[in-house]
Amino acid sequence: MKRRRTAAGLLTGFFVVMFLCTLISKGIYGAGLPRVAAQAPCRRTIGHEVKAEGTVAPGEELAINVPEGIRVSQVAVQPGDEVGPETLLFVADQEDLGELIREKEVEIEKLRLNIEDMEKNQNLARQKKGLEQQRAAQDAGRESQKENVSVNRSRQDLKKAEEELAAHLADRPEITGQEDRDGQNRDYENRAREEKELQEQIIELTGRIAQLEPEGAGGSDSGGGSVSGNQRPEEAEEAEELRKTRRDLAVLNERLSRLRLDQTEKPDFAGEDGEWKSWEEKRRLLEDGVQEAKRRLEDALRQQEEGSIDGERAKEDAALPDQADSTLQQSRLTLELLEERLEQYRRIYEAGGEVYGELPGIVTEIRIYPGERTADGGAVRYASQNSPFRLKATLTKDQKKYVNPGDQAEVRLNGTKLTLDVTYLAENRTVPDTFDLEIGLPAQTGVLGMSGSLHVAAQSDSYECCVPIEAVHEESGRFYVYALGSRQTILGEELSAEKIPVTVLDKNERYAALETGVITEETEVIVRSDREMKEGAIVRRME
Amino acid sequence: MAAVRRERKALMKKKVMNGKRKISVVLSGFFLTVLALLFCSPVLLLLSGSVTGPYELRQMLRPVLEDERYTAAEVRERDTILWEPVPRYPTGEHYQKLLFFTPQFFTVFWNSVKLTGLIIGGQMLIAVPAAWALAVCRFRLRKILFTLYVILMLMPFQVTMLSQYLVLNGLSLMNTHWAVVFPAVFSTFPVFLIYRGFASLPEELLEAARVDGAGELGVFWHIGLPLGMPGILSAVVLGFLESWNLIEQPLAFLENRQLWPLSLYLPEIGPDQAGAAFAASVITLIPSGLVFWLGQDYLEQGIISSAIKG
Repeated sequence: MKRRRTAAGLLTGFFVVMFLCTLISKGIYGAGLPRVAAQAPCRRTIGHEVKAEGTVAPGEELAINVPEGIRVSQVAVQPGDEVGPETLLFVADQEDLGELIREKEVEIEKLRLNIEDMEKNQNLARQKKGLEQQRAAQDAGRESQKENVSVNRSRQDLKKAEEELAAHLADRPEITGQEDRDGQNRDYENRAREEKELQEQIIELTGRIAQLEPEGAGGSDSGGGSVSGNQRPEEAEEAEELRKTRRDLAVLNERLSRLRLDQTEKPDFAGEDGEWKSWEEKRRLLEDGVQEAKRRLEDALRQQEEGSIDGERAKEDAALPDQADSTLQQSRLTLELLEERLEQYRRIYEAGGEVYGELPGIVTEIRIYPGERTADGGAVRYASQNSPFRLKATLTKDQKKYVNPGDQAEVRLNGTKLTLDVTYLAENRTVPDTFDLEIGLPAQTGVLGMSGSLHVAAQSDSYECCVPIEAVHEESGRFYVYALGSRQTILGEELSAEKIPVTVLDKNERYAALETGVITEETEVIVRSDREMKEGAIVRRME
Repeated sequence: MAAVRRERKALMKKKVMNGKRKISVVLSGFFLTVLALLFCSPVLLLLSGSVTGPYELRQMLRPVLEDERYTAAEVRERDTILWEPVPRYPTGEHYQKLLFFTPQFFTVFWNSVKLTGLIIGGQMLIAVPAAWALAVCRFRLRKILFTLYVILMLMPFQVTMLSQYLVLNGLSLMNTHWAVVFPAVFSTFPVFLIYRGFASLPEELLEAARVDGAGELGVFWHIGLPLGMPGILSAVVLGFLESWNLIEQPLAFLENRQLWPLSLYLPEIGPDQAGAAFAASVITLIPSGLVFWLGQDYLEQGIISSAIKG
């Protein structure tokens, strides 16, 4: 029983301890959670306030310019000193200035001599040029005349060759035409063939007669003419044939005799052809002569043209002006400058080396030092008292976005509040990503170097989704916010910080305008946290 | 002389017997001690691990924790866990971290307490009258009903899980603690266990009470409950142990981690928090041990009575 009671007591104690530990652990857990304040985005405008500190600067700056190279023996003013026309600014070293003047005089004299030499040389060159032009014209005329003679001669040669050719062509020999020659040859061959045929027929008929004549009979005339009554029929037929053959032979002999009477010699054209050939050769020679004469004329004409062009070019070359040379003019200008500088030196020298101010003002910068020579540029700069001052300030790149020339700025100067326009705003050339701003001050306001402040207010368009600037975080140039989400854990549904990338449209020191889309009106954006948060971190609301 | 010799001989024999018995006792004691240590080794491991420093734990569990790419067999080949029963520098930082800096543990702890309490309470409300009815009341189909109870008791959870899921989903109880509580409340095992206690009550005793004018409710309340208390309490103890260690039912029916009991939280502790896991296991073990200690006698009596009757 006691054991049971002990066990029951221990069990009860165990649960009590567990209950207490539950409270403690939850307390510690809750205390360890980041406490956050969240709010929904709202619609608002983003106002921009640009504040900057500046100093009063001169509105118009003047400079006292002196020739460079003068050795300064004494500087009589300091920055901030008021100067006027009677104020001594500095004193030049007289001895050194005298040396300078002498050096300048020598330099000027040398330059004058140089200029004289150059002028003489220019005249000489001009005369040479005229002579060259004249000679070029003469050469061109002579060459033209020579070429004209050559052309005329070539023309005459051509004319003569053409006349000879024409005369030869007119004396053309007569020759038998080819058709006539063929006809004559054909007639001759026909007669020869006919004679030969007749001769063959005569021989044949003579042989026949010899066969037909009876043996022992005399001539043909003895047995012919009659047929005796006692002759056989065959013999009668033969006698008849013999008579007929003799008649035919007589006819053929007669024809042959006639043919031989009409017979002419074989046609011969050799002489005629030789005469024609010699005429043709002469014609070719004459034509070649004409062609040669033409070519000579063309050559002469081309030479005449080329000679004319060369002559013209020679005249043009001779008429070309000389190379540009401004040495003389430069020397004259240098001489003028030196004389002017010498005049300035002399004026200072004659004033005993003392240099005075010109208009009333306050010295802002001195660029001369005792013992050193003056440099190019103003030796003493001072602010004119006749023009009002300006307030100069420097803006950052972010500030510049909200300020434009012409904007109204609230200026505080020595306790005085003024509303003035921004007169000048430009990028600073020496310091990157900074801008120089200037505001013109009213006349008789401020003192040079006085500090002042300016304040420019600008209002943006209305943005739908604006959150406090503390809610926007940046990492590697990208912006994000933490929104309240919920996560189901063993402890139940807990609030968590969800990282949401955003695009910042505009922002000022208090608010940032975000691009709508990912962030909606219902999104609770964490705007404040008592410790650093991480993506998905469990958080609790700030009471 | 002979008598003296016999007496001396008997005395010698007795001494030898005594020596053998002593040796036997020592040997059996040693054997049982080794066996007990073997059985208790998991608990001892938990206790040892829960007070071991993180560095020592990492060194000891290095083969398991260091490289998850290797399989268990490859890890065994590479190295083996050399556990030191007594840590070199004992520390309570795991308990401190668990008890004071881990509210999640308490959420699941109280979930377990809630589930166990509701289940035990429900079982007492349902199982005790049911067991009384089956044991004492005589009605038709009683034996068939009891046989049905026994069959249902023998069915593992995997068999009834689908039907339970369908019913719970139909009742819209999924993902609530009631999805775990209701099926456990109507479990048949406590009915069976308590039934044995009620069934062992003498019939004459109940009749005597009735003769003395006690109604059925009076008999149940004044006779049944006091005499069946060992069975009821043994059912309470066993029910507590079962409910405290539920895994399958919460895993199947509880999706929301906020509702998980301790048994599901322990695997959630990462391998780099082995010390916290050991400490959580030890704390989880404490209620079970205390309840067992509290109801040990009743449990034994209940089991004995069930066994005698059975």
